[in-house]
Amino acid sequence: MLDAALLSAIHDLEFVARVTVEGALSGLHRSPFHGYSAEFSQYRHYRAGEDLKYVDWKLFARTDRIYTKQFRETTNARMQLVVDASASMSFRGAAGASKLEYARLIAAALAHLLTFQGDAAGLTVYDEQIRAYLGSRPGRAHLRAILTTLANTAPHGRTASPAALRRAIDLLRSRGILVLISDLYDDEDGVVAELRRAARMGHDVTVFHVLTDDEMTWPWRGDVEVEDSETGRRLLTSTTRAAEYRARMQAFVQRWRERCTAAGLVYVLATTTAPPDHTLKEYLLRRGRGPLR
Amino acid sequence: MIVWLYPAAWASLLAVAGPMIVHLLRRQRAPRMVLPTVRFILLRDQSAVRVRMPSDPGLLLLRAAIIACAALALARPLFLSDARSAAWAQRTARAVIVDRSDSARGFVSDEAVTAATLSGDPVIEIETVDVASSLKRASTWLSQSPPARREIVVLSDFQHGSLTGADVRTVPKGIGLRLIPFAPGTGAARDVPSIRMLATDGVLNVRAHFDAERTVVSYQPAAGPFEGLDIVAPPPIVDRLNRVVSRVGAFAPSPTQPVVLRFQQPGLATTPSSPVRDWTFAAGQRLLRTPAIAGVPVKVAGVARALVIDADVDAQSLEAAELVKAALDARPDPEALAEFETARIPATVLAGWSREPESPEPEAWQQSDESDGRWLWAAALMLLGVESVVRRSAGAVGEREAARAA
Repeated sequence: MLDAALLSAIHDLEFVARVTVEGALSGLHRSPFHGYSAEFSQYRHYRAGEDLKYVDWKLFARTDRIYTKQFRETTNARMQLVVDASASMSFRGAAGASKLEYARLIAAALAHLLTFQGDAAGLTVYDEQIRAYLGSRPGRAHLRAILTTLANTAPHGRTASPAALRRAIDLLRSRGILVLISDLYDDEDGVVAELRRAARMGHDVTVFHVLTDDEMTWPWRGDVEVEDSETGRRLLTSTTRAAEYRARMQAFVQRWRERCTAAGLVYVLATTTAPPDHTLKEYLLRRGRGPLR
Repeated sequence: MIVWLYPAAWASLLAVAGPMIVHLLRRQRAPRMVLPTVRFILLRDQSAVRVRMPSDPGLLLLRAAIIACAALALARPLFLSDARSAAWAQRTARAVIVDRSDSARGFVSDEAVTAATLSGDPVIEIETVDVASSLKRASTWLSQSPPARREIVVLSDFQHGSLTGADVRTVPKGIGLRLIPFAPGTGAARDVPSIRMLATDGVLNVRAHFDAERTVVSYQPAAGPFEGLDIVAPPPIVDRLNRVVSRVGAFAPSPTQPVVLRFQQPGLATTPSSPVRDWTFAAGQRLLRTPAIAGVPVKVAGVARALVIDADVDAQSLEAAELVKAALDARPDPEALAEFETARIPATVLAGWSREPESPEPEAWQQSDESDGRWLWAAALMLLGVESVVRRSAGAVGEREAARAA
């Protein structure tokens, strides 16, 4: 099991990404992420005049009917990682890595995975505005650029996810994979609208909802003066309100889960205390055993 | 029964509210924490930070008890027990007045004084040349002394006139009076040398004769020049002043003790830093103590064996006349004149004035210098120790919880 805090302390992000991917892939019966240039799609009844080389003779022997195999031409998958680097992502619970460090691990692992299966990965880092953009390209050199950008990313400013998503979607010209890694403390309707737009455009959209256990459960005792990391607003609260806080937090998570599911998006709740390889494995299993495309 | 020697200190019991007030007024500083968002903390979740229940009522009560003990100790409680009352009754506060006048000199021995003061608890020894006025001082001191039987002991030759029944009656009831004569019953007859007095008819020679039975005073017109008084003023004013003083009466001026009076003259007389202790020094001191000229701006100096008086008053005013009379009367020593008396107060009169001290009055505890507040101080210190232990243990629990939370 990989410890997120330990991994985030390692400066070699490429190594960390590789270790994370290996951890995620170990135990799966078959890696569903090998790319094929031509991939079997479906059977259909044979029609006169069709090329006999596509007839599945074994099936004919079993069923006494002639079926031809249809293939779908596949291209390299293009993934755009959209990473929230606002100030709220700097939060670090009592244990584990900060949310940004965790997001960095997930993004690096996905980029590494895509690159080593010959696909293209890109990166968008944003807070109030887009701070870094790397288009989706294959190759190790580009992977290093992505990892370097991720390594140099520090939390800062407020969050403006819809605008960043819109820009990333527009720049992802052909259909691809859009992965949003954020704590989603933003305009929910605006973010969902952009994600749904991406899905309508044919993109495969995944949301990694990065949270810490502490902010979900409120473990602090007594009176606490809390300060919003992005707005600087200060409030005084106490343990007596922890139950209501937890209820609202769970409702927030549940709302995001339901809205993503309803929109056909993949939603992954990534708590920073969970090993990143487990989170990645959960994501891969959630997507099914098909190739990433 | 318990009494309080300083009940005003009960007001300090209000300080018991101190810890509670401090608790309520102190702004509870909640630890600050930066959260990713406060959107899940609604405004109504804010906790009141001022008014809140005490976090540790036991500790608060302990601190209040410490302050209460200290406040009660400051009020100086006193337990009035029979034993304490008996101890007070056995104790005698004594004021010993020793007559050190010329007439008594040589009669009052140190051994007698020591014997009189030895058994007093507490005791004060008052040496005086005026026994009558010292009685008041002794009475005042005794009235402020701790609870005890109170007694005034007078060691004197008891010249006739040195003490009267009126003086004795000023001594408060309950204070004993013991008069111990230390001189032969009656001294030898004495004559006072001639004293020149100013009167309406001019200067008179006054002669006095003291013996055991009577005092004989004779007046005779005096011949000779009117010398010894120099008033620096216009002659009409000087004449008017002399007439006023002669009408009132005063000791006549003397060429051997000259007096110079100056009114509103520049360059006031100043006393030398090391004055010559001749007659002018004592006369000047007596003059300045004269009640009749209290408040009159006067400076006195002895210059060439003459008493020079500078006054910042109008020479035609009544104050100027009072000053002339005071200056003339200040020259001879009245106390020295009194010492010529040879008659003594009879022993039967002294016995009639004497009385035994009474037991302390019930209200005598108000003067007590004792207090049982030490027990309360001890209790406060003990509670302070307990509070320290409780506080440390509470702090240790807090640290453990904080460490667990961390």
